[in-house]
Amino acid sequence: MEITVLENRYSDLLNRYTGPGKKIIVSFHGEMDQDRVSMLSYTAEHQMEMLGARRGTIKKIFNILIELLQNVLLHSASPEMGKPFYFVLAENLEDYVAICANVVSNEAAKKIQETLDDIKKMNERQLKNHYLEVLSNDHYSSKGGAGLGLITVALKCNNNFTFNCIPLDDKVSLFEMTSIISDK
Amino acid sequence: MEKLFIKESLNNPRVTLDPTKKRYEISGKSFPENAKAFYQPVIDWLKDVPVSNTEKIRLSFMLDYISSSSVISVKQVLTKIKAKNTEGADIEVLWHYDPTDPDMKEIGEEYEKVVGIKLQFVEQAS
Repeated sequence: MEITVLENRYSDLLNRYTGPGKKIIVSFHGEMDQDRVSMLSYTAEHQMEMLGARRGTIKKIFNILIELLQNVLLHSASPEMGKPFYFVLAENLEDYVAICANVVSNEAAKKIQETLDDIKKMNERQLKNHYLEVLSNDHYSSKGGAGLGLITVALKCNNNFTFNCIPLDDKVSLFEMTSIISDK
Repeated sequence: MEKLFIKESLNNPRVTLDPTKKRYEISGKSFPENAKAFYQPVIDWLKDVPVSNTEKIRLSFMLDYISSSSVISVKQVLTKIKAKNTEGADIEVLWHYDPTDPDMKEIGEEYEKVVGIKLQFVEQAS
């Protein structure tokens, strides 16, 4: 079931970002590992340089991609199936859109939703203060994270993001996050 | 103190901590899968820095990208440096940044606030 849902949504996204004023820059559907984080980020960086995007925009997108993809690597919950995910970076009129989705436990999905709901309510200054507050505390996970990744994504896209958690069964959900980055 | 060298890869920086050549640098892009494990040898190396009759160590951070998990681990490296200096070591941190990229300088300034350590900012040619 999980794979079918992922495949269908990935396929819908490819269609959504194809057409006048739209262009798929990099896309991938499959299993996540660290090499894939590097491969997708460097490919995206190179493709954006070829498209003539501004250096600052490329850097922001590189930042966002690393955080989104490493979140998949570190927080996927589907041990019997590996770490399935999909990722799309597309041009949409004057914006760039980065979409990343993976399977997480329902418990993690709830926590991510709460965190992102809180982040979404913050203005830029509050977000920056929250970033410094999290950086100042010393409560890190065994993987070294402290929740800075999602705040970093929000800061880099000026809080212009959306997210969805779609329950797949009573244990896991599909978590999808979309960040919109303006090249203006 | 022994030499510590970690080769650069697509996702981790090169680490050179070489007392013989007096060369101390961490340079490149930093987004290893497990940042905590990657920076632990650096923290362990710092534990062996003498705290009396010491020579000055000038450690350069020349990072052109740092992920959020690396931001936390580098903070722990800087916290260790601050503690060693309090004990008597003499470690100066040089924070290199590209003037066309405001992010790296800003991260250095955030470390000064959060860790309470003074960094020497070095503008590098882009």
